[in-house]
Amino acid sequence: MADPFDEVYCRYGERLHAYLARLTGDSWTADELCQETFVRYLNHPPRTAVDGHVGPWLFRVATNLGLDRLRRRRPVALATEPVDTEPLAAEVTQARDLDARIRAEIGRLPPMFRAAFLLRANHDLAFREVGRALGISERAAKHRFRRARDQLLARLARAGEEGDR
Amino acid sequence: MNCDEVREALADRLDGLLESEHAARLDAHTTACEKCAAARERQASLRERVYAPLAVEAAAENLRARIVERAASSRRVSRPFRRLVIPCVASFAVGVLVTLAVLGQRVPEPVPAARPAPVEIHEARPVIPPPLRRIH
Repeated sequence: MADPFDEVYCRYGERLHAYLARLTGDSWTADELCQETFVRYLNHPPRTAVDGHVGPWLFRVATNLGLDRLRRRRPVALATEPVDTEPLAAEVTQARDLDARIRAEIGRLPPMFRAAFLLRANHDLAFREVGRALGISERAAKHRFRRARDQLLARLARAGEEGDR
Repeated sequence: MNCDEVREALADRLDGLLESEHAARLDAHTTACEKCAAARERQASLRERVYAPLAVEAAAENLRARIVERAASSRRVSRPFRRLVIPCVASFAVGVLVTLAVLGQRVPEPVPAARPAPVEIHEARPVIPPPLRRIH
């Protein structure tokens, strides 16, 4: 008979690790927090899993651990002025270093906004699940995602403009 | 919707942030308007690139084994600990309750001490002797 933990680990192990690595920007920290998440799962499994899946629970625990770790770092204020992203959209296929810029700008987002962005954009969670993972409402999850996205695209657009000069 | 409104809401549409009615109106506009359809395509390409999961280092090879080992060792520690601590705490609590009950029966209720009458303080007044009478 297959070990039930094998199934859960195969399904979520790599995803959780990748999420934590992007959230914390550090693979070693991701290893440590991923381990902590699954140890908690094994020792205190969730009583009720939504739709029979433990994914939202695991993402919630991983998010809490990741945000706790990031809280020690200095917060970054969000700019609010709108920026035209059309030029960025036009150059997107040509930019060689775009991945590095994206990585850097995601790393500059405040942790809660970064988590909302990663869960939705990278891991394709529904906003309701993003809200559950962050311990906030679906509406608040949408708000945080929108602000993170706008901030990220604005910074990428600005970086592109500066690079063109 | 006009073109400006559509361009402003395109990002939200692609991210699934619009209400269905609003999304339907935007879709109808982009189907009919070539420029907005092209803008939508560009925004979709941008998202595809920016939202693509960034490559990260894979998890440590022995991560799964480490998880299972740590979970097992923490259970090994916690079980005997619970076996010892829970009965100790329970018996201590029972002892405290019994002691309190016994003391509550033996010790008479304290009688509230009588309150001393308030002392009035008068200002010192000069004593004026009564006027002297003449005795004939």
